[in-house]
Amino acid sequence: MSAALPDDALPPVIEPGQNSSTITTEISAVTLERPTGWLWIIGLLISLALSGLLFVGFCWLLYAGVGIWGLNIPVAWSFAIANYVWWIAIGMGGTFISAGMCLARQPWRSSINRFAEAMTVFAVSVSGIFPILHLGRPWFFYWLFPYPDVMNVWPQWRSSLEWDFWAILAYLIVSLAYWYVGMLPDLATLRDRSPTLAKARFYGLLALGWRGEARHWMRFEQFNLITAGVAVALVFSVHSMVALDFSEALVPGWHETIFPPFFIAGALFSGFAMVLVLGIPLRRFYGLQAFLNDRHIVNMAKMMLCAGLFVDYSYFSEIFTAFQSMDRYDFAMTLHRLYGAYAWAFWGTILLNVLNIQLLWIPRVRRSHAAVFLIAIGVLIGMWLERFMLIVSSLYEGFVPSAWGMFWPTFWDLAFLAGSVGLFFLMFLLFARLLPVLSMFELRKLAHQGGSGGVERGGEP
Amino acid sequence: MSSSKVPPFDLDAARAQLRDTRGPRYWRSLEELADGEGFQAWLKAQFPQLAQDAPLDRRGFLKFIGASMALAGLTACSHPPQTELVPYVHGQDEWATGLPRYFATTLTRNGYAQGALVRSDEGRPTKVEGNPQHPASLGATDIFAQAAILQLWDPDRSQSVMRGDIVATWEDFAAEWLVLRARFDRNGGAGLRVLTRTLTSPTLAAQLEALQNKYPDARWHVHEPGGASLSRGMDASGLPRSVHYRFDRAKVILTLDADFLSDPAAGVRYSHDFISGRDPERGAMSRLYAVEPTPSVTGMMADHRLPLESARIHGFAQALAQRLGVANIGSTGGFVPSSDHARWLDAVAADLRSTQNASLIVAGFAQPPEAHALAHAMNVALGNVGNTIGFGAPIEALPAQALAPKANDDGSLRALASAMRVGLVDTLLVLDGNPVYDTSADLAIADALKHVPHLLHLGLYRDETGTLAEWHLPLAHALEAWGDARAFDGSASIAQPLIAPLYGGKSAIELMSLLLEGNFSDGRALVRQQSASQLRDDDAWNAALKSGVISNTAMTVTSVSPPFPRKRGSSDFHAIESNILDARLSRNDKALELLFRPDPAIGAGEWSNNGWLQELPKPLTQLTWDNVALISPDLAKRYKLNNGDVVELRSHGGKLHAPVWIMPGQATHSVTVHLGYGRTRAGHIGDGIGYNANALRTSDSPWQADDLQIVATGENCELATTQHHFNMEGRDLVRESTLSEYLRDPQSAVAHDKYGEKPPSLYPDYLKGEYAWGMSIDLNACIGCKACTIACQSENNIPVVGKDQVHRGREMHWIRVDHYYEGDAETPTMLSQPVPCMMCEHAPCELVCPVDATVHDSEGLNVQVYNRCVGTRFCSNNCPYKVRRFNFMQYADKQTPQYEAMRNPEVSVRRRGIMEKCTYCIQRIETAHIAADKESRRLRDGEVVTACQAVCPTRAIRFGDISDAQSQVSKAKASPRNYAMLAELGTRPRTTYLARIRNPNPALKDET
Amino acid sequence: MLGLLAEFADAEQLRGAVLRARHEGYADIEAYSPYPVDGLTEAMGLRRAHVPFWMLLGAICGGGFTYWLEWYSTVVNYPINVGGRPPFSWPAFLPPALEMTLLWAVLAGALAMLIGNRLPRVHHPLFAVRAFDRATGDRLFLLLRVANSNLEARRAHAFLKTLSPLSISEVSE
Repeated sequence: MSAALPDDALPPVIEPGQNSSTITTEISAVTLERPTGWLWIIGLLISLALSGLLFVGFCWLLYAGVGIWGLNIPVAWSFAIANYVWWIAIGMGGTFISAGMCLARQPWRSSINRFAEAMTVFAVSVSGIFPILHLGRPWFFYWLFPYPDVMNVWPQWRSSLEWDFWAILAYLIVSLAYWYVGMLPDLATLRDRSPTLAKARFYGLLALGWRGEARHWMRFEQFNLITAGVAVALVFSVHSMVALDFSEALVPGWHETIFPPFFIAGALFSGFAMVLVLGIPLRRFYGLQAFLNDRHIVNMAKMMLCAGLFVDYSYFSEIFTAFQSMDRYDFAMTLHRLYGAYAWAFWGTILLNVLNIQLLWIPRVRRSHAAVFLIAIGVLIGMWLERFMLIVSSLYEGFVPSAWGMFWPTFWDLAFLAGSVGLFFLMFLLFARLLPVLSMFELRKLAHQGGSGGVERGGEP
Repeated sequence: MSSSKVPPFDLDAARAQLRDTRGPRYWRSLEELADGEGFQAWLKAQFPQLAQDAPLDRRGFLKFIGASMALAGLTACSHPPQTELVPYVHGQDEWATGLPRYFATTLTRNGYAQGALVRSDEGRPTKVEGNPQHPASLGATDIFAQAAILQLWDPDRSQSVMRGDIVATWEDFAAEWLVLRARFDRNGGAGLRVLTRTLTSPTLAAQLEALQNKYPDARWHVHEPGGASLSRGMDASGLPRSVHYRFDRAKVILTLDADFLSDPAAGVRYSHDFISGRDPERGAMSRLYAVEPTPSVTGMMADHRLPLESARIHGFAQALAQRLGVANIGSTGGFVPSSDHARWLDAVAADLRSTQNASLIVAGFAQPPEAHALAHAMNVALGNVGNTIGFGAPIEALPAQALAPKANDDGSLRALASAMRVGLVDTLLVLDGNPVYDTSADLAIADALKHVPHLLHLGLYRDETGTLAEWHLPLAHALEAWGDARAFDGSASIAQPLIAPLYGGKSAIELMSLLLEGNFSDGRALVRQQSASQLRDDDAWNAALKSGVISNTAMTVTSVSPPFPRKRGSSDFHAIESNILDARLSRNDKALELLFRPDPAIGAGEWSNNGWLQELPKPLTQLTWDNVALISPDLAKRYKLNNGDVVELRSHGGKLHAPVWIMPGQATHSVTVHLGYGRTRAGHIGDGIGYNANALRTSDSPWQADDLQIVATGENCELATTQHHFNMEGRDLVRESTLSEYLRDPQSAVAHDKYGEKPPSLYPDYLKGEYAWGMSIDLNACIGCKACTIACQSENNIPVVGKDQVHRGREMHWIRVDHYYEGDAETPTMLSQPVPCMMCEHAPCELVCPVDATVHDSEGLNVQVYNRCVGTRFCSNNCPYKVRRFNFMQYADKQTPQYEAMRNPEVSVRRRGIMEKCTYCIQRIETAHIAADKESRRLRDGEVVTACQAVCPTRAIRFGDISDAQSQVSKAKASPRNYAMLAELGTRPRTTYLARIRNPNPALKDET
Repeated sequence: MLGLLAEFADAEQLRGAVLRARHEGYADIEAYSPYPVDGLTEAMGLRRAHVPFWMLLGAICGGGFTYWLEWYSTVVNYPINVGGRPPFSWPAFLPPALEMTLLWAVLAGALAMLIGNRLPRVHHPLFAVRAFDRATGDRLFLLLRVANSNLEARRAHAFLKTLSPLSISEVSE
């Protein structure tokens, strides 16, 4: 597909003339020398404030109960679950970029995988909050974990919520390990370049004494390669579990076999969008143009478009199935979704996830960072709307008309959504300040192999 | 928690301390009291869970007054009252501590007896059941009898004698009375008036008679806010007679705005009789025609229902009488039957004539005497008298004036009001009533009372009247005191207390004994003495207490028909010029009539402070916590109104604002408002909700006004309804057929398309346990009265959540009654369907619970394990029937000691964050299990009765072991009408339904 | 003293140096680089490490144990009727087992990697060497461990000179 497009003019993955020492200096400078910018501080304050709101909401929730949200019977799930799916999906994108494209030997990923993985870790951590807070009795969430119990009670292994519990657990730990182990060499670099003893100690402890021995590298690469494979398997299995949280139910609009692939496509879609939303400003503020350039943006844009097309197909197929099967309940649900009280959510989704991304067919749009940034923001919003639409418009008018009801969010519904965004950015800002935002050792290797020569021009998905 | 070395708290001392303190000092001293170390320690010992509240801030303290007062009662009630009670004959004869006992007693509704069996746990009344031996109950009850328990334990009940705003004692009042009495002894009781509601109590009646004999110039007035019972008729001279209907014998029934299924005196019994006359299995079904302005439970059951303005019903009756050849019916007024009406009239007339003296025509209490006279004349003409209808002496006790009306004094409230205005009334004793609130605006009772020096008010609550009274006296609840009453058929029964008065209240008869003899006599003695003629010895007395009825006291029903008056009578049927509106309608159809009706859930206001009833979705509208103005779809179109839009109602110079509710089946020009709301002194539940419709009522036409104008205000108010969608969307949830169809092909009732077929399953069947519980609900018998919902609420400690939470869709009822409309909005078919848990064998809820909090037991119950529930709510999402309820917040009131005492000890109280649902009353199943195991035998069919099944007046619900082919429920499920809701989902419900069968008149087929 | 440390600017030099050193019979050598250098492992003649084996083992244990636990808890320890499903609903039990397979594999891998590399070790004699700070930046190093005798040391030093490194520094214990 790229052949038709004038992408040959794209710059090489990393700017010519870059070598180990320049890479090391420039990137570690971001963390070690660069003074804290006022933009960063403002960002931190805002996200601190939002996180504070989340904390207040958290206390109020524990005190008063989930009734502070707009939940009811029949709509017993809504914002919290939408937020959860939204965040964990965003995480998927990061893993796929670092792991999937590592297997696919895409050199250009080297510039983005580090902060993509960080994004994954933070997104998954944020998403993990919601399933727990969403419980009627959050303090008993550990009952989903099997442990020897005097009453011989065990988890109910057939429930997709149970599966999901294991999936999140595995995914959080694996992405953490993958991220951290992958960061060891760069932490060592920071250790050795620390201007002050305090910093040296700080990074020294984090680096666990990494020395770059040939033996280290051997095991390190073995681990990274296999874990990349595992991580890709996780991306697909975990998000299939998320999808099964819905499709295991017999609720029309949930009970659909297309859900797992549909959700995975959606996950990559929103994940790529978030990488762009983070990467474009990051490049700007930290002067990383040398390592993050049009090539990366354009490639990411293409991947986002590609994933988006899968998602759009799923929308179509869902509706098509309803009309083709003419199942009384599925059909009614589809009509309610398209024309019912929550039609705005559906059409909003279509606008942002279907029409919005078609702009990316145009090379000039792909090249314009501002445009890609805005489109990506639109996609993120669209994907949240989609989750809200999938959950609420399936629940509010079910099998028995007498039990039909409506959901309207309360202040706290919105507060938790805003708060989660705050918490995510709080973590990401700290990361950008304290840890290596790009993977130096991979870039060095790339430079050494002459990646700087732009030989690896391929690299479109 | 032992009360060892705790300074003892002497309650009497405390009372004494409170006695002579007044005003602010009273509160302060109560505070001191509540904070006093002795009290705290004693409190700790008595109620550990209350101790946390101390030390009290001012707010907490106010909440606490109820508690501190209640404690007196609670301590007293840890044992049954110190009089000799006799348990229900079928209860456990030898009583083991810890087991509940049942006592037969009598509750009253609008004065008429409703036999009840009340469960007493360790001396605490916790549940009301019907008394199978009582004619008005036959084992079932209405919603009010169920709610009586909550009323008994209501912390807002009046808790002490009050003189003005000052706490006083009964002794104080007795002393005061002696002073008053001295004067009446001299002047023959001039200026002494007594106001009661309808009453049937032989004892009280005798006392009132004695009072009138003693004080010839004293007067007794009767005011019944709730409307008269159908069993109340009158004869040629306008004197009251009792009317006795046999709905079970009638083959064709026509009601003229008569909602006999919710009749205050005998609704439960009439429902039973009516349904027993409609058994499709027997192939014989009566046919019910209903002509009514506003949809009622009866109208919902009708095979043919004609919406017709109330004011035109008399004209309609005349037109029908003509067709039935009733002689000299007078001018047919302004009623011009449309072609539809004509067709209807012809068909009904033919149908009525076709059944020889087995038809029945009933006119409602809101209809004028003319209409009643016509109905009666038609019954005579059709030869129904003596077969489906009979007459007897009046059941109610009536003031002498009512029997021999003097000039401007017929014993009505109007007479009293005018007497008050001219200063004829010196002392007014209100025996359990609230005239200041529940009377027509034009009487301006509150204002008239200013001319009454001494107002004495005996009531359960210190309500609008009580606060104006010089003396407010706390009335003992029906479950707290001895008493008696008569049922719709005249049979008398005794009320025995299940608990000593919680707040030191006294019953009406005890108060009367003070008025007569100058000192209080024991209620039991009074009743015993009154019934001495029927119950000669102790055995007879005990037998009567055991069975709950005094045998052979039923009225003798004569078939001689008293010729009804053709012109306005003078009893308390308030006549109207029935043709005025009709005439106006024929000129322009802008004219509107305003109908006043007691609220279906909270009556005329006496139940306003009852949370269960407030939150009970009202039949047909499913509204809670509010009253509205019911308008027809046409009217809504004409005035561009939607549900909840506030309009201004103008009538007789009065005006008030009310939100409208569009009521399918409402007569085009009728607007219905319900009484009982807009209370200001009901209590913290009933205050300040809804509007007071009495503001537009007039005493000469209390049930309708024909000069209504409505003006949209543009405002809108939020109404809390539990059902938003009344259209079944073509899903065959409620299945129905017609009798002829059914007889031709029994399968037609449950005929279904590709849906409704149980799909095969991959899974092997689980081995059935010892029993396999199942339920069958007969939609042909369900009248949608909602008694099951309340009975379940009482049995299973279901909390009340309040209007806001209901509005958010969080009501907690375990069994709901759905309503659906079919056909056009003007004359829809109305269906109702009770929905408890379906107890699916392949339960979708269980599959998705991650912690095994909802699982199956060996007897097929889908059990909810509260302790294990973490509250994911996935089970509710995955329940196709949406019968699961979630504690989104802490709904169960754990603070108020009264509620703690009221709860069923067999059912755990759910905390916040937990899912709950119908359990098939598992506690009753277990109790029966234990009983059976002790005798090492199997459970008998019918030994386990769920709360909803027990209360159902029409036996629509059957429950039992479906693995036993001989059980009631198995037989029911064997019927060709049997079907499972949403069977196509493969959930395999244990709760199944019997299709509804209607019996339309072929001559009117095209219309239905 | 521990040995002698030679500093190089690019990977080819280091690899050559490693080969030469081994040819000269220096068995106890160690190479350091700021990024994984292709062929260095082979040049050093290192045995392939067993990280993949441990990860496989972790995977099998994780999946196997979880699936066994599901069977044990539903069939042996507490069989109960849930939605009419058979006690051993084997398809429904696969997802948790799968997730645990993947999780345990990675955990085992991470452990194998760290333990095999004798990490964490926050202090090391090399850190005392000034020049070594660039080992994680833009320089590559060759370490010759030599016996604690002047003779040995001088020989090694002479040999390293022949590799024309950027610098040679002593590493003391």
